[in-house]
Amino acid sequence: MQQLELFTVAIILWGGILVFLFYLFIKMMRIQTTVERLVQQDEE
Amino acid sequence: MTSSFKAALVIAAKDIRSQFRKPFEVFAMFLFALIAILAFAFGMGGVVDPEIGSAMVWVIIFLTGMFGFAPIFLSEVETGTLRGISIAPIPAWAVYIGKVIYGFFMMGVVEIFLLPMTMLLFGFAFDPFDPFLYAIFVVGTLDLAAVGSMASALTMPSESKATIFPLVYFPTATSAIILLIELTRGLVVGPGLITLGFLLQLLIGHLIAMITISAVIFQYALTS
Amino acid sequence: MRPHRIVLYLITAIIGVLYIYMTWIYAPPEATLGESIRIFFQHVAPALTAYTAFGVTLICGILYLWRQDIRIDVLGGASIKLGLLFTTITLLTGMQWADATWGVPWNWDPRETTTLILWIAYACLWVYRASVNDREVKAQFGSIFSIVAFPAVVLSYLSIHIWNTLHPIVITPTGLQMGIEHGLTMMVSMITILLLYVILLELTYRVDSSEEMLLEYRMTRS
Repeated sequence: MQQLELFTVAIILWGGILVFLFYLFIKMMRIQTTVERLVQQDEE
Repeated sequence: MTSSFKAALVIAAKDIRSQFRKPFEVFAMFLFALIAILAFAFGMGGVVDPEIGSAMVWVIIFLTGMFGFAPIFLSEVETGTLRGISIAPIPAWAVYIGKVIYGFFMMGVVEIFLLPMTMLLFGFAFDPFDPFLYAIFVVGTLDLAAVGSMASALTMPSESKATIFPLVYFPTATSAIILLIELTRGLVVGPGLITLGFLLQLLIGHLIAMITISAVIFQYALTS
Repeated sequence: MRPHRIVLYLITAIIGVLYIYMTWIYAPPEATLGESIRIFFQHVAPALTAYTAFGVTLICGILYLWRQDIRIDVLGGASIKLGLLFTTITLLTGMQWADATWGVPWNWDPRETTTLILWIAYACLWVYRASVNDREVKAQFGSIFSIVAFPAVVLSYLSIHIWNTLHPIVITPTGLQMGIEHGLTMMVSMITILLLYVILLELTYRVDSSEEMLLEYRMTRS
């Protein structure tokens, strides 16, 4: 039981940071697709 | 300096006078407080412990402020008079102080009716001859008015003003509310570990800090 | 990638591995807390980092009002997000720790309450910033808000000294109240989380400012 509790804390800390990185990644992807679309529109 | 203070008083007097033309607003605040009392009474199953009842006074005033302080600046935006205020030759902090006095007056009027009502319905009593009680209520209401005016000014540029005002009001008012609840609880059931004098000093410190910070940075809220 | 960034990432990775090793293997179980002392190393450092993040937001707010540079506001906005992330971690690990030592995850201890207030206050600031459309007005009023909201941070930090609390006071004016192994682990955890904060802040700043540029470009285009 205690092992599980300790493990949960590690998951919270590193998981939290990973989730934040994932959020940044998603945001970056969205920016990239928007930029690509804008470039395409400019070319047309 | 003195002329700026006079300007602040003029602004406060103007707002209070316009308030007399629509007295239903203060009455609406009072009704809102009454509804809050009723809701809390339902939640706590009728008879309320004096300790909790006295703490509820500030919770109700806090909630009423969420509703009553919002128009302090927002009404100026609605009527389009804010431009006039910002180009008038008055320093920004005087505008802010004037609005704080107006908010204090408005909430004070509500409290005069609200306080006996709450004491009656929640079954506790403050000693009416205790000068400390009046000090707490004057400083507390002034503090909430200071925070509420600033919050109302901050809400001006927001796209969804009605939803955002409580969110701006909460972070700045909470520290005052915690102190005020401790103070009134101390008045009713006797002081706890910390003396009431020290708590009142903390509250006055909070009031001075809030008013000074807000008055100093208020010019940035008017110029844009 | 520029070389100084690679160096920063490498140092953080090495210290991070050291931190994990020290937390789970090096630090001995504590006399009264036992194994749950390991939660402590993952609870205090995010808490102090969250205070740092909100402090950075305050400084950015003051600097913005002084210099009127939109980049400062983007940095302040990025720091709010990171402060919220680390406050969330603090609250959740704190709940685990409270569950392990006091038997309940949440008991409205002043420290818990004020940390929750802190979280709500900055979440309010984040929502508020999102609700203002004009970029310059958002920066201006967001800065004012961040200055006015900062007393909540101070209150949270002072709360354990004002009210009586169950929360242990580890950092006192006389120094850290713990053994040498625990002190060392604590220090390494502080450095790791602070370095992670700096890296994440830089990344968030870059992503946010490119988003700003994109928005600006679309505005001028239409």
